[in-house]
Parts: sequence; structure tokens; C-alpha cells
Amino acid sequence: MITISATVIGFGLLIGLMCLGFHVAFAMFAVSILGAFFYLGLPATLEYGTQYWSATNNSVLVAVPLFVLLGELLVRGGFTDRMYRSLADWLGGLPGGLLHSNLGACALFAAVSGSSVATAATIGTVALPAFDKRGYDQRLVLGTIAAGATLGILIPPSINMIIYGAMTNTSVGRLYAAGVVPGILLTLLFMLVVIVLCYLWPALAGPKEERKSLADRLSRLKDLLPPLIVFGFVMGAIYGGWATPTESAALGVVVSLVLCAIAGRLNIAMLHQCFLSTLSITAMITLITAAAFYLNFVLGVMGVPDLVTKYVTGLQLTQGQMILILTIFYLILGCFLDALAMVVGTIPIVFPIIIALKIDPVWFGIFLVLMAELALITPPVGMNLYVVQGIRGRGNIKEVIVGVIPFLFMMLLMVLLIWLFPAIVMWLPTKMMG
Amino acid sequence: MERPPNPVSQFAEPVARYFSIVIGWGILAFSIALSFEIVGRKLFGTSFKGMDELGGFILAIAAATGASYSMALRAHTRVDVFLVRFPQGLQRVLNTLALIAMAAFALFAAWRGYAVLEETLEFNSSAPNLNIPLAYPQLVWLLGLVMFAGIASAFALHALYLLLTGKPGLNTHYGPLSVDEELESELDALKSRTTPEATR
Repeated sequence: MITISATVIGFGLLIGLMCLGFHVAFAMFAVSILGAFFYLGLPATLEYGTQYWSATNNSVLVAVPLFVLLGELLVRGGFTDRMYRSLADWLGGLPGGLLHSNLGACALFAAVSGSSVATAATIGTVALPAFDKRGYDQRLVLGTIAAGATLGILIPPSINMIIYGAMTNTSVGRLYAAGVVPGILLTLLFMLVVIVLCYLWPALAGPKEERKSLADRLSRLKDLLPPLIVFGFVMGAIYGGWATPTESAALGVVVSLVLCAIAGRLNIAMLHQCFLSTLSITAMITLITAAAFYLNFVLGVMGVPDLVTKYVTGLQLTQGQMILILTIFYLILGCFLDALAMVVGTIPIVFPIIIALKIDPVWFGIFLVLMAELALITPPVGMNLYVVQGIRGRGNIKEVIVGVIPFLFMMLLMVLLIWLFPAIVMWLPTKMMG
Repeated sequence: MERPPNPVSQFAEPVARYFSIVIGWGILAFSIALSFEIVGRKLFGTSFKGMDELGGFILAIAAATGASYSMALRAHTRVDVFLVRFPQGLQRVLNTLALIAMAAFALFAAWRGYAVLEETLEFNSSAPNLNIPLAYPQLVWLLGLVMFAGIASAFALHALYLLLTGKPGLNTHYGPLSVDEELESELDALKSRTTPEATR
């Protein structure tokens, strides 16, 4: 019979293998296969093929490649540059000027992209050149993009939510609805911190821009339409009861395809590039996720969830204490692990505890996504930090790290807010889906 | 960034890329078909039950084929923060071990994948709604897994050869993809769309 200490050793082995540079997918596979072999015997070990087939032959997870393809089409269709310019027209007047366009563009792109890294790369490339010779504080410019881009996985569609939903049998549609209000609220908190900082230290922002005429600004408003149209179709189809999240992703792909064609950007070479990125990103995600499904299966048969749940229940922790422990646990883990690896690697053990403590799975999904967002910008392993620094191509990464600090605090504040007021998360899904 | 090409990926990458593009068309076709199904269901009350199954097959096949393409690109996720701080010699050993481990993983997956297909054939199973033998999608899936295992094994053998002969290049060929390299490909993609027309 497996014990708590064996579980801890297994988890330590998982983290250890990852830190020694073994592929994340292999580390999960190795730990689960060892567990299966020693505790369940050879038949369960050989069961791997069937488990692998059923983990990827999954009609919920097929939304992953579809949403990746959708985002690829919109980026390569060139819609993001014009979207940024139009946002700058309207948000440039706030204290902090163009910094708000970064945040707005991240939030808007997040509404069509399910990935934070893709959001950082896209908005970073579009936004950074706009700041040349404008006198903004570089750190804050970089911070708004690296932190703003983490919204990619909070504002639906979100690849992390699809995977969380598939692993825990939680409705992806509910998770999407649950991400909307926190997503908007976090965007506003990010903007608020920029306003406060730039009000206290006006030198952080560049000199005020001359405002474009209203006619100009209105005429460019149409550039915001493509992402809004796609978002409208995808979410409308889900909540109008027309389509499942997977089906709405397919609809989004077709709408993006039409938009690219209208913009005159559709050609075979571009499509093939989109396909290759889609396949590669999908494979990276599914290889890890499939290994995590097998880990989930093995741990389940071994009785680890029961064991851990009994152990944790024995500690007599309240929901609040558990969330506090998990926040600290994920903050530390997020410093060293890739965000997805962190989420899928911990779900098999953490999720049963959540159920035992009667924490709502949808609420916990949003909490987990917020922790994954933090993992994306906490050094030393914070993918968004590197993406933004890489696009910038000069200076030191320390400036990006300093730049995200105010936003880190806002994200922690957000975690506190959804804990104190769960309705921030639960109101919209309850309203829309009962 | 200039670097001597990896002789194994020079051979493996085009093969995996070719298959990936074919699967990419499959994904696009599936999206279009699924969209028609949604509209048909809503407007005409027609319904085609097999779409869920088809989607599952598409993902399984895309995941397996893509795994080989990502392998050829060295794109599978690794944590490099500690690894790059180790001495070069230790890095060579760890990189080789990581690839041997990955090859073992892929070979095991292909072997067990074959067992799945065998069982399907034995029981003559078919997809209930699509009404096709389950062996068809599983065969394509297995092909992807075999390609993944092949590429991973070739990489592992090459890395082992470089390690044992003490030849240079092991860490550049088989270390984790550095962020610079990852961005290089990402930025190439973005540059290709930033034409004067977009910024006008």
C-alpha cells in the first residue's frame, strides 16, 4: 500500500527529473510508469498504450489545436498592428498614455488567443517599436506587456482551461464564463496601477501625445472589429446554446479564415506556416497532458487521491488555510516550472483535496489559471519575461523583472479578491448556465 | 543565428514537416466540416453524430505526428534553468541521458500503441457513429508514434555517439532550445506578416 512518504518521494522525483533537464513529458511518464510497475504490476504498466490513445482521442481536447490555429491565422493575417493603433487612439489620453494600449491590446488579443506566450510575442512585437524615442520608462513598458500578456489564459478562450476541464471533468463552457469577469477586473487593476504610478512619478510616462482628431479615431475604430467578431462568434455560439467549446473553436477558425481572405492575406504558404505552428504547439501540449492523464490514472488506481485527501482532512484545515497553502506552494513551484507542467503535474493530487474541502471546481480552475499566470512572470523560469526580453533584443532581463513587480502584486490582490468575493468568478457562469 | 546544422534533423525535419502539413489540412477541413454541421443542426435540424469521434481521431493523430515534428525541432518542453548552469561536461551527459530517456519513452509508446491496434484488429472494433473500422485512425496514429520513436532514437544514438567519441556540438545540437532560438522562429513568423501594407 502506498504511503504519504512514498507519494512525496514520487513528487520529488518528478520535480528532480525536470530540474535535471529531462523533458517534462518524460518526467511525468517515468514517475507514473515506475509507480504503476511497483505498486500495480506489469499489466497496469502495459496499459499505457490504451491510456495514451484515450487521452488524446478526446473530443474536448481537440479544441486545443483549433484555438491555436485560430490565433495563428489572426496573427499572420496582420490584424494585430492595426488593432494596437486604434486602441492607442482611445487609451492614450489616460495618465500613462500608451502603456494602457499595451494592456488593452493584451486583453483584446487574449480574447481570441488561448495562450499567454503567444499574446506576449504578438503584442510585444507590435507594441515595442511604438515606444522608441518616446521617453517612457523602459521597465514599465516591458512590465505592461509581459504581465498584460498573461491575461491570454484567463480571458477565454484559454488552452489551460480546456486542459483543466478535460482532466477534471469540469465544463469548459463554465470555466470560460468564469474567466470573463476576473479577466476584465485584472485588466482594470493593471491599468489602475499604471495610473497610480504615473500620477505619482509623471516621469515614468512619456510626454503627452497630441490627440488625433475625432474623425480619424472613429474611422480607425473598425480595426478593433476583427478580434471582436471572432470573440463574438466563439462565445456567442457557446452561450447561445449553439455549440460546445470545441465546435465554437472550429467556427472561430472558419471566421478567421474568412477575415484573412477578406484582408487579402490568405495563401498556401501562410496556411502551411499556421499548420506547422499549430502541430508543434499542440504536440508539445498533448505530450505533457497525455503523460499527466496517465499519471492521473495510475495515481487513481493506486489510491493516492484517497490517501492524500484523508491525510489533508486529518489536518483539519479550513478552505481558506488550504488556499493560502496552495497559493504559496504554486508561487514557489511557478518560479521553477513551466506553467502548463505545473498545472497538469499537480492536478492529480491537488484536485481530490479541493473536492474533499468542497471548494467549487470552477472557482478552483480560475484560481489555478491565476497561479499559472503568476508562474509565467516569476523568475527565473517565467516564459513571458524571456519572450518580451527576446523581442526587445537589448538591455538586461532584470529590467523586465523589475517592470512586472507592480503587476505581480495586482495578481496576488486578484487572488485575494476572488477568495473574499467568489461571486467575481461564479456570477457569470451561474447567470448564463444556471 | 549561425550554427552548424544537425545532420540528423536535416534528414528528419522535412519528413516530419511534410506529414504535419498534411495533418494541418486535416484540421482545417475538420473545422470547416464541423462549422457546417453546427449551422446545419441549427437551421435544418440535421445532425451528424460522428463529429465527436472524428475530432478525437484528428487530435490523436495530430498529437502523435506533431510529437515527431516537435522532436525534430527540439521543441518539447524542458526546464533549462539549472541545466545551463552545470559544467559543459555534465551538460553533455545530461543532454544525452535526456534524449535516451525520450527515445525509450517514444519506443515504449509506439510498442504499446501497436498493442492497441492489435487488440482493435482482434476484436474487429469500429467507431460506433462514423461506422468505420477503428483500425484506420489507429494505424495513422501509430505511424505518427513510430516516426516519433524513430526520430527520438536517431537523436539519442547521435548524441551518444558524440558523447562517447568526445566530438564537439553535443550541447548545441541537443541542449534545451534556448529562448533566443525559440524566439527566432517566433519572430520570423511575425516578421513575415509585418509588411508595409499592415502599417500603412
